[in-house]
Amino acid sequence: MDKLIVGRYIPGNSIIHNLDPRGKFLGTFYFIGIIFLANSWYTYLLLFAFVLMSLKLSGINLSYFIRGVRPLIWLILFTVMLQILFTPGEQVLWSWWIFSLSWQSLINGAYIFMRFMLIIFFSTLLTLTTTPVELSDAIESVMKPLKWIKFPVTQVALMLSIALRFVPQLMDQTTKIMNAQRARGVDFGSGSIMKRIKSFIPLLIPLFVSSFSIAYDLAVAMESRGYQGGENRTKYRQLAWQRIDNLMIVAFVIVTILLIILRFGVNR
Amino acid sequence: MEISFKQVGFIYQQNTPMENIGLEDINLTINDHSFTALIGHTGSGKSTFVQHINALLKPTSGEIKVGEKTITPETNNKDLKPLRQQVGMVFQFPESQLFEETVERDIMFGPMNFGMSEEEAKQMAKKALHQVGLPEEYLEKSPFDLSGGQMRRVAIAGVLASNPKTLILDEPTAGLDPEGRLEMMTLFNNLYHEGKSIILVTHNMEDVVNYADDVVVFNHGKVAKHGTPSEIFADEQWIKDNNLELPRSVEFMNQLKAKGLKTTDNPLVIKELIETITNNI
Amino acid sequence: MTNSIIQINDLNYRYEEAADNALKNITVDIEQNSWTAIVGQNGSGKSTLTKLLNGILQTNEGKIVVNGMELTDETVWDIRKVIGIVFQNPDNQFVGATVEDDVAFGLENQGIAQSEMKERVISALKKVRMEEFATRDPQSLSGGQKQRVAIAGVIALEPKIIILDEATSMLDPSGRREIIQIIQGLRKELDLTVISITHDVEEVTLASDVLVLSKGVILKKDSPEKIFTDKDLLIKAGLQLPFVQDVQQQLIAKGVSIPDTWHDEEGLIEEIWKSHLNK
Repeated sequence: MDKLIVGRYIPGNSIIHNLDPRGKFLGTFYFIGIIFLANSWYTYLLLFAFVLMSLKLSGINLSYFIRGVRPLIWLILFTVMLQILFTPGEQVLWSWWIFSLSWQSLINGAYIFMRFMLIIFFSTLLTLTTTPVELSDAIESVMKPLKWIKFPVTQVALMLSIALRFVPQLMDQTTKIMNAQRARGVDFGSGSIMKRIKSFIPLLIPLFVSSFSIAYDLAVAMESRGYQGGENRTKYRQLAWQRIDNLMIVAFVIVTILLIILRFGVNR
Repeated sequence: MEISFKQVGFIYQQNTPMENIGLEDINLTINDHSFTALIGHTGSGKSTFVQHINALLKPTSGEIKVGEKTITPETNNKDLKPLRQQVGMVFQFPESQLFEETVERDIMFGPMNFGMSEEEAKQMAKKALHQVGLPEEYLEKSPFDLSGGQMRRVAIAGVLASNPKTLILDEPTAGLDPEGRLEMMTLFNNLYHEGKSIILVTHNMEDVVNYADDVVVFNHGKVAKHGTPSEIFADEQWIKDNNLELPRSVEFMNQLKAKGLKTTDNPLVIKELIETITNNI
Repeated sequence: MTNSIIQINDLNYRYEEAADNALKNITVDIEQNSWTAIVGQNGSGKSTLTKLLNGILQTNEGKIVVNGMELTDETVWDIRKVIGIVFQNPDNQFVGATVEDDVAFGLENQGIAQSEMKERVISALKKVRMEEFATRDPQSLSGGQKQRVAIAGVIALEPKIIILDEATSMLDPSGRREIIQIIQGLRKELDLTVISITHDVEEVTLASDVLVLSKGVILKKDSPEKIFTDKDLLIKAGLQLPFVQDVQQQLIAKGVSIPDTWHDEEGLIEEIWKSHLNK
């Protein structure tokens, strides 16, 4: 579990760290959107340059991002293979049964691969430089319009931030119970599938029990501190949009314009 | 069982940017049939140390011998069962490991994992429940219907039932009331006198002087001192420098000595303190 | 008594599936600015009593008055503003993702304006000497530090009463000392009434009053001196003698001539020394 990079925050004080989480959150989605405008080597080159520049600005070691790709590598390769084998093309290099390989399909495969990398790098950048609290603040703020349809935005946001807050604690608890059961002779992850599944019961039941008792304690503590759920709460954390956040928008605009020129202009 | 550590080091999350030192250059022998107390402030390495004894953690360098078994960084995860059967481990708040429908089945869980027959395991469960001071009719109850203190006893019975030679206890009395504490410590003391080795991780200095014959002080992942209780507590300044407490009797006697009372006795427990005072005034 | 901040009258409580009442005919007054230690074995009803005091548990039998308000559905939220509770498990009561967020939680609930909140969070953190940790997450704190944050969260709401519900029982000795020192200081500084539920006899000796509970019944409420010299009571309630009194009693039993009155450690050492010089 220590190796999982997705969803982990790396403390820092870079420009990227200090951007407004709302901007970062929406910006990430925007970027993922414009990735689909890319259709040539030049356009991908441009996007990679932009991503690498952002990574550089975050001051986080590149190896972190590469490690972020690792858990997904098989999914990526599988998708890329499908693309390569099933895309029809004119210059067929090799074919067998329903599969065929062409220059076109190879290039397509490479594009898909690059698209994955761009998406993973950029969204990893968001989670590595944004604390879970900031993220849930950003989500709350982005969801605000949903209040119009009576969606309980503030409650959901609080739920989300509490859930995030307790993830590390539950991880610790999991390790502890696993150790206790290993000391009682359980061998997690060996033997037949049935045996493996069965070996997780002594882990899951205690985890449920302790989660419930944490939830109970927490509810009592929250109520004792005056939590009534309602809408009359004020917010301690307030997000402030700053000049640097405008700069981020400018950067996105420039990239978009360049991308459009490269995509449509080059053909002309 | 003799336990020996030779130049043992352990690094958490090795080869990652989150890497940090858990243990460093541990050289230590714990004799067979001893009651050893491990002390040191929170995060000093005590808990990391004990998890090496039954290979829940494997050293990143060095070598550990537990009885006949040798553990090195290369030790395979298989064939650890005999070791774990011989070294029983009671974690902090062990009641959180209960999961079976009945107390009996929960206590039998360990013994059966270690290869005992159902019949044998049943026998051991009965005996272990008796050892922890709960009546036999509890065997049929659900562990989740018991009080916190009773759940802890069942969890400890679940470890005892595998009949380990060495018992590791990580703050086993945390959160109990004074009477519960005393009963529990008496249980461990009895087990010690019946021939088991005890390794007790504790913050309670009174338990150290009342029960242990061997003390290891940890600090920053290293062994800071190893000796008998009287050796460890002889140097008041050293104890304070290491953020530890003195046992009450030692502290009391030191104050009397500071007043001018002349004696060469160094009482550790209240009984000795009373004797020293009555003999010297 | 005119200056009692909590009055409990003939309170009974029974848990749903339980055969017997967890609390029976509890009638007691807690004086303003007192430090009351509630002692008794696990299961004696100590924690049930705290949960009734701020309306987490409800009962129809008996009356509770806090700071002049009778506890009802209408007053419960006002009473919760008066009573702050620090619970046993440092992890399970930490609501915020960081120290400052956690301290702010209660203030957010009361709808305090953000600018005022900032000030109150910082001032509360200063009072527990945790201001340097404001932006840290709970994982990076020790148990004692987490409990200090919990105390800050409570005092930020400016309560009149602070209840420590076994708040030190999961801490190591240094953590325990920190918490006790901080509470002692805050009690003077903020004129707080302190109720501490505890198993630690040394902590009990710091109190001005001790309330002894056994099987849901109040056995006695008196000063620590009176409680710890009542030998029958100690046995009945399963209480141990504090170390100093234990030494004193054993010395007296051995015929050492020291007076059988209440002493703290320093006082007892003085007495022993006197007895030595008189020889």
